[in-house]
Amino acid sequence: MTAIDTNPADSPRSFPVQGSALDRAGIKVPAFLKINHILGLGFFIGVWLIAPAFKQFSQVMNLSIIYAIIGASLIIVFGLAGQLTLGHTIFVACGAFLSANVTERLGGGLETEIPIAFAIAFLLGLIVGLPSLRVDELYLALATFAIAFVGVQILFEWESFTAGGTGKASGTLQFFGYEFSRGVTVVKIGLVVLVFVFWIVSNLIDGRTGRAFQALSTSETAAKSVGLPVAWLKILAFGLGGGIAGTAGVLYIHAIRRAIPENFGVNFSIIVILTLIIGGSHRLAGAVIGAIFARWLPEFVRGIQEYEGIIYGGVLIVLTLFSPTGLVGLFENSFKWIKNKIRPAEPLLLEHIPGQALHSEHLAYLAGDVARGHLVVENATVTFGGVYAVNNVSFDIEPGVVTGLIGSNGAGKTTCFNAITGHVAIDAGAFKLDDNDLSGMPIHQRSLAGMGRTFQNLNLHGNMTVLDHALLGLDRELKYSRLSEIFRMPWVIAEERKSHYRAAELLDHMGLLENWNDKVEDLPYGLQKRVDVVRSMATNPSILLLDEPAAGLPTAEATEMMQHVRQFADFTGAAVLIIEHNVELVADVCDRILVMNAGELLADGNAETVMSDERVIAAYLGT
Amino acid sequence: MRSTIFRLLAALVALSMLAVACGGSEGDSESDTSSAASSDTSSDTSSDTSSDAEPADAGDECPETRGVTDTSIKFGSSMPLTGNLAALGADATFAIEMTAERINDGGGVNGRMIEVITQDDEYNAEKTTANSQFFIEREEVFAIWGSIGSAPLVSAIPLHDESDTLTLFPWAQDLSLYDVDAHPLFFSVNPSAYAQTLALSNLLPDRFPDEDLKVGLLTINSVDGQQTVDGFKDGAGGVTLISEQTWEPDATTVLPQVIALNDAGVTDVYVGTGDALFAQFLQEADQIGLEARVWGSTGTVTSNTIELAGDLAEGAYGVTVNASATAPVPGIQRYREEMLAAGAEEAQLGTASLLAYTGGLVLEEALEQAGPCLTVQSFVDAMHGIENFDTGGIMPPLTFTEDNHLGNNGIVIVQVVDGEYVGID
Amino acid sequence: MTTVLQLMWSGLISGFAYALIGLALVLVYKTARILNFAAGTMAGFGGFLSYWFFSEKGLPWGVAVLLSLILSGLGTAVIERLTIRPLIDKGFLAIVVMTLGIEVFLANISLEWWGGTAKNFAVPFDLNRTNWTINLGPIDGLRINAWHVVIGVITFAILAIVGYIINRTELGLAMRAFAEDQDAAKLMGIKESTVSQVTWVMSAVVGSLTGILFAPVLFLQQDYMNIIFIKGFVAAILGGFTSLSGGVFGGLLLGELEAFAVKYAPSEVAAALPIVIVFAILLLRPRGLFTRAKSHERV
Repeated sequence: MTAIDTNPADSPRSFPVQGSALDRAGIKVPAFLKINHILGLGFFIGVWLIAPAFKQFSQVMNLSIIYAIIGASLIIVFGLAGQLTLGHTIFVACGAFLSANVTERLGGGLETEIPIAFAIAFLLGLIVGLPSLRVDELYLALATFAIAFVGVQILFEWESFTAGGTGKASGTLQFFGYEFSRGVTVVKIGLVVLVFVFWIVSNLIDGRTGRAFQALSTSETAAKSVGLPVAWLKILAFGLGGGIAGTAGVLYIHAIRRAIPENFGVNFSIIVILTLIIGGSHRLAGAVIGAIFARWLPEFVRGIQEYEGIIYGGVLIVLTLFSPTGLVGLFENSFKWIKNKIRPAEPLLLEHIPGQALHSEHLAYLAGDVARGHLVVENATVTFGGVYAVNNVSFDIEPGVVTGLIGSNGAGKTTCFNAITGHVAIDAGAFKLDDNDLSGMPIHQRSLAGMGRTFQNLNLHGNMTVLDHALLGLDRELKYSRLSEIFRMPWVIAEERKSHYRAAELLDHMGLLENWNDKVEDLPYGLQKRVDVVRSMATNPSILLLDEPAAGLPTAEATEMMQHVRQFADFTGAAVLIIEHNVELVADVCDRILVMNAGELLADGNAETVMSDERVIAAYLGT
Repeated sequence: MRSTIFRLLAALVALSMLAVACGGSEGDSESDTSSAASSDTSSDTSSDTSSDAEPADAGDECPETRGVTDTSIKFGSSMPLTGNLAALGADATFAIEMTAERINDGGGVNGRMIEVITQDDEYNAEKTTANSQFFIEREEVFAIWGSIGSAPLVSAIPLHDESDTLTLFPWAQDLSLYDVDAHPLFFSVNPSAYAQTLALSNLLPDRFPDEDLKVGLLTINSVDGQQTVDGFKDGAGGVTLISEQTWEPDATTVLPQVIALNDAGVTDVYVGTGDALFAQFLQEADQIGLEARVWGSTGTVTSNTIELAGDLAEGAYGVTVNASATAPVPGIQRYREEMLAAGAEEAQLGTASLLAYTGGLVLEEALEQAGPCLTVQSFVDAMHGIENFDTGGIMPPLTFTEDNHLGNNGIVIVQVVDGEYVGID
Repeated sequence: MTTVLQLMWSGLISGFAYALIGLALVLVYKTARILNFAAGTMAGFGGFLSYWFFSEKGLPWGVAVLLSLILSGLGTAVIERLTIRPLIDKGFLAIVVMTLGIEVFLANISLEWWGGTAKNFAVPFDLNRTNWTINLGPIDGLRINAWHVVIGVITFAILAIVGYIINRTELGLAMRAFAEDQDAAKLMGIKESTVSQVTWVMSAVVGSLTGILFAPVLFLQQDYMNIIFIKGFVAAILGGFTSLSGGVFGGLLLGELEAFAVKYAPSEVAAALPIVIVFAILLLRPRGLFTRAKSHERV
């Protein structure tokens, strides 16, 4: 039927399967502990051991630890999920005052203070996160600022909780009745909490939630399209960040002995954000480095104190000019540079056998005997202020069939896609996928119902790796809860492993295996397009909507890409709907072609019929 | 790759921590203090002085006291040298340093020279507590002398108490500080904000017995603000508190508050703030045409207020704890001579400076009385022995007892007359 | 009635401050997509410079002001060239952090040079001490301060001038094109560096002028323009951060809200109420009061 070789079984090469893609590419398998964990633990043990030698700096160490914990909480909200929050310290305030009140009214020590502070700050965070659903970036900064401002006022007025302007004193520092003396012990307690918090945040970063946060911060649209519940994730980010900050608040009031509402305002919030940015917001190490810099700088400059502010401002300016990823970024880049000089990195070279990956045991679950992807579009109409972008369009996509959608620019093809996937609101019409009525479903639910798509502008997650993109698509297959993820339960690791193996095979299928560890923003355009495709493939869609997958690609690459797509679709039984301008390609690949013009469906049939249709020639093909 | 990074990071951090250890403890401390009692190095407790257990009666054996050598006494001073209160911190520091110089020029106290180390805390509790640890554990000072603001001090004072360190003569007005049982090593000449407004509220009906007094309050939402209001409310009857206004510390204008006060028909307004904001209040009260007596709090009584407000300050009252910097009393004259000779500007002579200076006078007296064997206990005993200490009119005669570490129990009313604050009885 | 009008007038005064700073912020944001966190400190610098010129150098008041405006403009041009321009492609956050760094730096320099004691900023003819009483029927007893009138007049003048530049000059056209679509404007031959620099200088001059206007009101203390900056930021957001008139309106609205909240709201909520209202407005109209929401997102 087509000129493209699609059936894997017919391939002339036979398959002694060479071992899984993951192993061939040398991808590390997820485990309970990584090298980083061990090093981090070693670092903290080291600090524990040398702490007594620095006991004259115990207050500074205390504060550094607290700032590092706050930094870790900010990494969740800001570093991962990309929400710029100017009111974060309201959670610290919450934790601090809760600590004072809990010890006063309920007795008990840290064993009650910390859980309560975390729980309530978490809930507060969920509420604070709500505006993030309505507004973004700049406006969110204002919204969080407003919350902080109002929050401080509330604290002032809520006298039974905070004793108004006077503030509340901390209770004794104790744990299950065992009272601690001040000094180095407090530092050690702080370290314990710090290690625990960092472990949790690290697990989050390595797990599905961390990936999901990163995805939504770089492209919300794409995140929704792979089925991630973006709204809930945003709120969750605030909740988790808030809860951890609340825990820091408990330590804080024990460090400064008295919490006063006016201390927790916007200034403090800005300081903690700056601290993390200086350290580097993309790595947990950044939280530590930032905290150490911020809290130890005053100690270094005691002799020249007048210049402290100038030095701080100067560092900020210089750092921003030369290393926007903070001090951690500075170190990382230096090491990379040095390492490259010593031993230049060699690109990975792997053999790519078309179609082989689909035969791997890891992708066996994708095999579909039944054709699916029956998409019914009924009377779809989309208007933009009076212009009919899509005008009463109806068609039926048959399951398991590759269909093309062509038309001149502005014909309404992408809008049609957007209407189907839910990215654009329709004025009229209905959509059904395999007898599921999609009307009213938000984007991510349509994705979960079996709809996958790629984008004209790719909408990739720039700073995430190719492997991450595939893992994102596979998110829905993971069978573990976020709670287990935080504690890195054994089944979490098992599921992550499964997912990694699968992702590697999918990359192999699309010829991306060699680039598994590259950040997509560093890739050439052609590879980026493939990443877009593999991401939606990974969601195991019933129908795959590809928006100009070959645009900008040389013919050979385009043909190869379509071959991969075709193989995948045949294997899983999915339907494919492609928007394309390359008419020859469309004719080659598609069993059926739809033509749109000026928002309306012009023609519908197989390649021959459509090409020879007079109206089509007049509107689009020319002679 | 990431592992290498983390490894090197850990090394770097360890190195920098070592650097701090070397830089901090050796660089700053002078050789004088090396003979001070070494602190207990058990890892769980902060350093404690070994002095208190010994009886302090004059004997052959004088126990070693942290911060005290045969030739010097070391003090630590944590002041806001940057930030909003920078001016106050600078003024107070100037007064303290000048006092130390004067004492040293006269041969010191009992043969010992006064050494003061000042550090900036930006009015931030985090910094104040870090400074306190610096003073106590690294610099090993005898006492903490002077500070500005209640918020930082209430955070730091537990550290002082736990290490048997005296906290002397700050400008802080929080009630909890004056509890002798809680803070036995705290001494001050500055009554709490609460006490001040309480006294004022009792005083007003006596001063203006024939009037139906309607009082309005304008305070800042902060540690002292609420206590100011409470003090007023708890005062004797005879005044009606009809309007309570607050303003944010950095409000753009206070016109709406003035309008509200004016509308309420106040006869007297008490404004709890600092010099610049008070001047702004006077300016805006004039703009609205507020007709009421204006009473400014301690922080407003500086020459700078008059400098800023000019004619508008004429007639304004000040409720303060010491005579104004221009009062014609011998103590003030002496203060002015010394300060101006040392290079102070007129604008720097205000409450912050006077409180520090007067505290310095008491300090000098107590150090002398404590005698050659100077320990924390001997100092405390000396303080308890101070009765009716004459400050030359700066404050009423000061008396400290075992139950009362606040020597100054009265307020001073001043009024701006002909461009200067003068005392009124 | 008098009270209400008096309140309205006092609300206007702070409103002018917020509007002007809001204008300065929106100018920079609209064309360069940058949030200038140093705006408050820069505005304060304008006030301090003027003071220095006429108090310590004895220059006539008008000359002092003019000189300080010129210096502010020049200084900002230099800062922009050295620190902001290199970051043009590094993203929103990098530049915001840079402005924060500049803010810390400038604030400390200001403290070093001028000290912490508040200073009196004298104005010609003692205008800030001159009050007029209006006695006209229902608004009997309304008092207006002469300097406040000056503030109002100059604010309108600034708005008019900026509006003129933006809407009726070629330069303004270039700026607007830039605000709409940076890439297209660059393709049309509009130099990014020129627009960026001009915008910053304009914003700095407006800021400095605001600093000078309000120095007699607030007295020259360190950080005296900071709270105005924060409120100006709020005002700009109310205006959608892309509409100049929206930012101005937002500032005036905020000033009025503050004034009336003090008088009529219970004291517990008076401080928080304006912000709560702004917040509510934002939730209802996430893009600000004056921006029409984009009808669809290009996917």
